[in-house]
Amino acid sequence: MSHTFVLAVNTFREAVRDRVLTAVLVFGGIFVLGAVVTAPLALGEHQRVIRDLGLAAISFFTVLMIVLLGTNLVYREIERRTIHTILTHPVTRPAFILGKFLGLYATVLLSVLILSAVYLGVVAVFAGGVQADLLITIGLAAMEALIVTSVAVLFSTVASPLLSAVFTFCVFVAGHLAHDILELVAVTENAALEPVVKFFYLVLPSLHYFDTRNNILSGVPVPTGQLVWCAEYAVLYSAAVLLVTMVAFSRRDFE
Amino acid sequence: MSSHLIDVRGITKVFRSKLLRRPSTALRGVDLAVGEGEVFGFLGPNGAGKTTTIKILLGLIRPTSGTGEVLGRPFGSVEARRSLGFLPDSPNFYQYLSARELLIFAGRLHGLQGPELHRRIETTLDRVGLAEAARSRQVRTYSRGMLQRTGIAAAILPNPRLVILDEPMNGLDPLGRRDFRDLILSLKREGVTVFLSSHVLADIEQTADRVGILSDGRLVECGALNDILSAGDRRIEICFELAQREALAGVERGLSTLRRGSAGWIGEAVDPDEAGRVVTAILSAGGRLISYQPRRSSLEDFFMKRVERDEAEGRRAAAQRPQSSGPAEQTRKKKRQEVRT
Repeated sequence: MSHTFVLAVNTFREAVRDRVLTAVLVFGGIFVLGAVVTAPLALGEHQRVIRDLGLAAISFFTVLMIVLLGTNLVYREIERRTIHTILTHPVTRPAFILGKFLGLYATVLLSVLILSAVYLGVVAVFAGGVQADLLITIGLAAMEALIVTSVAVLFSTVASPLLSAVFTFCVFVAGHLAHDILELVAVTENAALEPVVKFFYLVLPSLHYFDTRNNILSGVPVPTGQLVWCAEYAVLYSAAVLLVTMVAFSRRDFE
Repeated sequence: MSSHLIDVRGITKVFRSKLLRRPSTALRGVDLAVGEGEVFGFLGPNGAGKTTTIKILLGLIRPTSGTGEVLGRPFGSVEARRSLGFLPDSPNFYQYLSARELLIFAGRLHGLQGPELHRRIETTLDRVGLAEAARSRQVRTYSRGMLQRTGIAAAILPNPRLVILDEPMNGLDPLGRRDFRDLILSLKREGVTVFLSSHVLADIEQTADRVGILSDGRLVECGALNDILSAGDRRIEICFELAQREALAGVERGLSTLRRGSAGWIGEAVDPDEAGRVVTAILSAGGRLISYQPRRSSLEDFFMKRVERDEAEGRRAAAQRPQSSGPAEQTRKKKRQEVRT
């Protein structure tokens, strides 16, 4: 059994036994179900509201869980000095990071599955049935979570949980807005600002490609090409972030 | 490649504070060698650099300068860690795991699995004396002693060639300390090399073959325990019985101290020549020689003298230097104050 797998299983077990996961799932579930109660307030649009609120809840609570669990992931090991007992076993530091990342992402996928099951049940009963595009949108949310998880693990390696949480959330928001800001700067034709914004646009994850809720609401199908591109992008981007994390972690002294 | 299991050459470690990057020297050119199968006692006052040395051996921190090997491999190499067990000072484990789960996790990281792993876990937990009822409880409910036992179980589970124990007796009651001493001696009988860092000098004295004393980041003494304790002390303790009390005056002349013990008279001669004359006097007076034993100072006596001497040398050197009270000097002063306290 590889070290990475052993560490991933242990991280998954830790997350599952953590009350944070339960709390996030309970509140996420309530939010998805709550859409049924609030939807009639939008006259004639209640099916649309149920679909939109549910998808928003899955996305928000998934990111919330990554922030709450992920930003503590490596930091807590260093702070509680459990890292001393792990890294004195025959485990390489990159394997440790990869194991922690995979364990956390497995937990994230589990929560996405649970919230999606509740959501799809609600949609099937109260919003006119499940369409394939809904599944695609949920799949894209899971791919987006891959990127956000890798970012959270990176910050957890180099910063305190509070800073990590702020940074991770900022990257998530900026990743969704970066494309709009780039277009805005292009319109204003500000020569000084453009290279700076372009730099951040290249460095930040392009998360707006993963948000297809507008397609769902307007009934426009999500192109298959976008799905494939997003999958490739998520894997490559998170691999690059993990590589940076491994380098930073390998250079650390554990005093 | 060195024939020693631990070979440290000129290790220096300078820490820098995070904000102002002020240097603080933890180790100053430490040379150390530990041979296969021996129990090596690593001593030193608080802040002497013992844990820093251990962390360098394990690859948790990197030395500023110097080099060395553990099990013939560079510090922290994965190959070396395959044959190494480690118990940290105040061990912290995943609170949500039980001792059994923790050992399954540790065993799998060492490539163990299946029935062999489970068999070995039960044997190891028996060996360290962790009660059966506690083995499935989460470690968050454990006492300090139980945590130490779990930690040592995790360290010896993979049958390592080298075990590094950092303050293993911390928080143990007398019974627990005795169990730990017995365990260390049984590991030694099995040919396992034990690197034992401890404040409890009596435990080191009872288990170690060789000791190294670290003071202010320098290895000030290193050698076989017997050689260290008997070096410079030529006194001989003689226990005897006399047929007639009047003969005591003739014997007493050659002794620096004399008292009445339960087995007989106990006296101390200043050197072997004087002791020889005393023995002749006892026998010629018709007395009986019960024991004749070269005097050995205790490790505690030796340790205190050695550290005090090192501090005095440090103070003299500091006085000769131009007034410099940099951060490193201030740290040393603080450490000396701690030792005196």
